[in-house]
Amino acid sequence: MRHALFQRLAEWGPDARGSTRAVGLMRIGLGCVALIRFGGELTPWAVNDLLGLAFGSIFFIFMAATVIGAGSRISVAGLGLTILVFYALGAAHVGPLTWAHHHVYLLGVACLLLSLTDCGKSFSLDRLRGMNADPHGHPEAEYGVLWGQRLIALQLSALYFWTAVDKTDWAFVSGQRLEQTFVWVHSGRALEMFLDWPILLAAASVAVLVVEYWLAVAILMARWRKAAILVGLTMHATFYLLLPVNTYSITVMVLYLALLDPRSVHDFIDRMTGQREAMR
Amino acid sequence: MTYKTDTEFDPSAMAVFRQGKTALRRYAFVGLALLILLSPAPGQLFGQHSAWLREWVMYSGVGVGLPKGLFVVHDEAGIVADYTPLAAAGLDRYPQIVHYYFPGRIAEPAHLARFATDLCAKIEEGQRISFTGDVGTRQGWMPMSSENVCDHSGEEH
Repeated sequence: MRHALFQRLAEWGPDARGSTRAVGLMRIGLGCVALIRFGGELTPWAVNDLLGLAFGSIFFIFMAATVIGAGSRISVAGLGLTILVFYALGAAHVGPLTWAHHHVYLLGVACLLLSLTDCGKSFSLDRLRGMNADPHGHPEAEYGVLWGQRLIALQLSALYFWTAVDKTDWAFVSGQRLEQTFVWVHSGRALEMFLDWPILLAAASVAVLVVEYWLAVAILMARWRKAAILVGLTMHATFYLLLPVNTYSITVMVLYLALLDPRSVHDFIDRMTGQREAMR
Repeated sequence: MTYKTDTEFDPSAMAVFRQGKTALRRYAFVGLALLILLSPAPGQLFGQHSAWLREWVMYSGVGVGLPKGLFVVHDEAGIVADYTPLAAAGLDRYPQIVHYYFPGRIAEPAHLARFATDLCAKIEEGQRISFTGDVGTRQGWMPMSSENVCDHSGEEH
């Protein structure tokens, strides 16, 4: 019995293999998010010295290679390391303080974890090269190791759990901390009226706390996953609309691909592109 | 010089290699999973913060140091006018910058003068400004009041 449980855990986690389409899409998505986050700060017209130019060059090379899928696993690992170097520079007050934010850390770590998957076997230049190299032009199966995808799912679960732990106090549950946030963000702006309804802010605080604890577990449970993804996407869309969260919400939304069953993603894409009909 | 193809290698050696690789990946997975799941614990549960262990405390400090209440201008005859915090600071809205960079953040009554620099510069001889309300802290709103806001130097202690 214990052996069977261990076997199931191993198959879910370190031994996970399956369709690489979801991780391929994630690779493209994270590359684009990285471009949105850092592109404007690292272009040659935006940097002031040769060091900045060097960092910018490294970033753009890894980012572009990640998006098009050239040397995919190395590229996405390089992109993740580069972003984590930016994070460290921000934390050390050498780079902008905004580089030391949680959304930058999450993006860097997600890229590194994605490099532990065969994310270049789908939607990539690597795949096209493989097809061209094959004498019959047959593509390599879109199938490979996915343990990094499972680690990304665990990262999302940990994120929800620990951010809920941080909110588990009277200051948050009573709506005071959310009100303070809204004072900073919305005072003098269109949604300032929220500040007149502290009860609404308290209710929203309790809802966020409950949802985050629930998501920490539900995203890992097959029976709750569909509902969890819908609730999670709604919550992150709300965060994006109401708070200056930068690329945090969009990064998490991209990472939700890690929660989906790889086979169902594969089948869905087949269905949407008419592959099934073509094979009949 | 000739090389062996994969099929010519001792199958048992290949099996041992594959088993070793699988075991290594399993250990790596457990190590990384533990790091991901437990690394926020020292900081968030025990206050042992480290730059190497990311804590998930998003937005916990936003709004800290901002006042909620009224700044009131008095003269010898009584109340002259009252101002919202934004009006006292001479702002239409708080700037869209990282909140840590906002210079008007308040930690103690002496900092109220720094926040209300604009209003303090406008009052006339014989007038004073009081503040009654709360200031944001990580523990929630903290009551704060001052009968003469502009009397303080406003510099951090």
